Amino acid sequence: MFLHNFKYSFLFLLKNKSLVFWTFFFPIILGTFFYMTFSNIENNEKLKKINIAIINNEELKNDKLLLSVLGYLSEDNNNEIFSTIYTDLEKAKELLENKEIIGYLEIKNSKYLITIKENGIEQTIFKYIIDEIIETKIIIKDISSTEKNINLEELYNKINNNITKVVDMSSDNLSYTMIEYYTLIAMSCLYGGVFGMYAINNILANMSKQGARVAISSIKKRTLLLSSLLAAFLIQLIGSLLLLSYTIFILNVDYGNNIVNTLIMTVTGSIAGLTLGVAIAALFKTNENIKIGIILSITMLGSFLSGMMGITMKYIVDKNMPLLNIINPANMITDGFYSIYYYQSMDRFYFNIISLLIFSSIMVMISIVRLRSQKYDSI
Amino acid sequence: MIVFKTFFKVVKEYKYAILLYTLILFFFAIFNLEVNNNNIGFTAEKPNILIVNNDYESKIIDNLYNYLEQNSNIKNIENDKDKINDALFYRDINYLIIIPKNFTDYILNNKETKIYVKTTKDANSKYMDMLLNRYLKLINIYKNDYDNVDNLISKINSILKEESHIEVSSNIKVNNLLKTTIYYNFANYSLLASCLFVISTVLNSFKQEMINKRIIVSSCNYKKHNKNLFLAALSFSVIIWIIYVFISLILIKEAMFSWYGLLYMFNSFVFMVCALALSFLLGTIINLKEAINGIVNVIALGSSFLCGAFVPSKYLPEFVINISKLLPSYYFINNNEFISQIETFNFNSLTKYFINIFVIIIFIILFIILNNLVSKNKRKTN
Repeated sequence: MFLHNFKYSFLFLLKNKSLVFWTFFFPIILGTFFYMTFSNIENNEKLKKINIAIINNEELKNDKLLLSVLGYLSEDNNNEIFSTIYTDLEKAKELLENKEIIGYLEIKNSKYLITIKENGIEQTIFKYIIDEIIETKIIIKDISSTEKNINLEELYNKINNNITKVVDMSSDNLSYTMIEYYTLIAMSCLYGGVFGMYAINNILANMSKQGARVAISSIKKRTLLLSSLLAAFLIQLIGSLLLLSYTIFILNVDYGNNIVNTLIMTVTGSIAGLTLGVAIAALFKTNENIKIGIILSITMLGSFLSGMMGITMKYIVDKNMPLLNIINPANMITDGFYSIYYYQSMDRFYFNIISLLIFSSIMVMISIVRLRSQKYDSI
Repeated sequence: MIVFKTFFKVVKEYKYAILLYTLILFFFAIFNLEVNNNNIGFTAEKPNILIVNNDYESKIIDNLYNYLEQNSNIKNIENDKDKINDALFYRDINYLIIIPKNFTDYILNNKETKIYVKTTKDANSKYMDMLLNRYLKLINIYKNDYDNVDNLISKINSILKEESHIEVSSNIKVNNLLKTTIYYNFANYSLLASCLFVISTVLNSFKQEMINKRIIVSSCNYKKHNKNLFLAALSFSVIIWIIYVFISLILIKEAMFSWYGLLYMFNSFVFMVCALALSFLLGTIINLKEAINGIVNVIALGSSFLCGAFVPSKYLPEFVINISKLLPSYYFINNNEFISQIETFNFNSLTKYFINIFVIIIFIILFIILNNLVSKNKRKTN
């Protein structure tokens, strides 16, 4: 009986086209949109070659330091910051107007005059480097006045040999757009709750004709319930794993180096989604559409708070209302993937797994209490 | 009038969906009010940083604080490893500076020392690298020339004060245009989602077999019925548009109460008509009521993601931009971005604006023709 009901529950759930679209295809479509939109965003935030122009006049020719610094920073090496054009004022204005350069520098009466079109980090860096050239001139003047016999190499060493070293300890895994894909898996896991809801509705006498027939049949309810739930869980898991594979192999999403933990998180997330659906089906005595609406609302609100519609939202909630995200299953899943990707230690990952299991247990307990107490004098 | 009334009776059923899309737009606008968008005069970018000082509070470190405070925003985050790492990952800070113990003594006694940093590896953090190295370099050069730390600090500060002159050549005299563009770009999603979902669903209700049969046998003229349906849908779209414009008038006053505001409004109005035409087409094509939500979501989210409603189009890959040119949202968003760059108002400077409007109108005509063809075909089949 278990296998019989399992098979037909499985086929019945798969035949619901709308359900299959929202749980299988919609997350994949959304993931593809994410990929198309976000694939370039982090590259654009990196410092790229800044296009500038220098007004080629007599004063420039005499400014050896400026020429050598700009020459060095425009060379094709690791320190390349600028792509520099030496031109006249009219041409520079035209280039700025056409946005081919972000600004130009003119030396007038020994003063450096920078003209830009709009504010931004590239313009700030341009100004910073010109300021540093002014500063270097003062340093050279100071050193030359105190150490009259200093040669060029000694001067260079004195300026550049700093005994205080800046040591960069940054992590390599800094791609914040990954959070979007993690919320997508979380959404898919929780959406799957609708399968759990259908599985329960089909054996509830007051929810479907099939449920009424089941209620008066001689088959053990436990067998029916477990086989239906297993079918729902299996379909949901297939959906989540399909999405996971799609994000890994097609969208190149980085889940860190621990695939086992990634799978554990997906399975635990699916269990949480399923139990959420079951609890809502058992808890609310209302029609199917409203129950779906409740699951979708919880899923969307949870995904929103865990960063789906804006990555910083997760951070804002984590920082200001941590309790809200501690009880949010979508965040537990998202944060679990985030901890695998970003953190070396597994503490945060285990915390999220345990939180999800506690959440699922509470949902199961609520469902048991509600389902056990249901008796019908009439429907 | 009965068609008109019935239309809004059905619309009432979807009031929560309309409210949801409006609230999403409203909260999005509120979150983006913090965007720095000063068009007048030069404003240096200020990266967000955090300094963790494990040394004692020396004058050298205090001065470093002051220097960095002038050039960046020093954030106040609890000294907890996870919280600091999260702040870096979510770009709450671009740069973390960890000053080790004995830093001041080592530096003043010519001993080699290290200062530790964690960065987001973007342009902002590179700029911070430059600022930090500049300060450390100056201490290194001058520390042996001054016995007194106060004198050393005042020397360093006098050098740090030296600046080039910078001016912004733009003629734009209105602030917050970027903020307005971001708002109207996002409104692409809200306008599309609310109009497409509500109008298509209501039109679909009128096409349910039993209702449709009753309409056919009624005394109401077919053309009059369609005209009333169109007027009702148009009224609904205009109401939605007015609400969205009203939100922008409240939140971004300066930019909206200028010529720029008028251009944003007109652009969004034409796009709203386009959304209306598309809604009619979808309402005609889609027979299954359950399918509307899925299709509308894919269209509204798809055009918003691909055309740059959520992320500025300059960040989108080339192939995505090429695909997006096939969608009306591209021309609406392109116009919003163009408006923020207009320096003078004359026919020549607004040519691009009117070309984009023209393309959206072509889309409107195309949707109307398609709608007529499909509905004609369907009527023949029936």
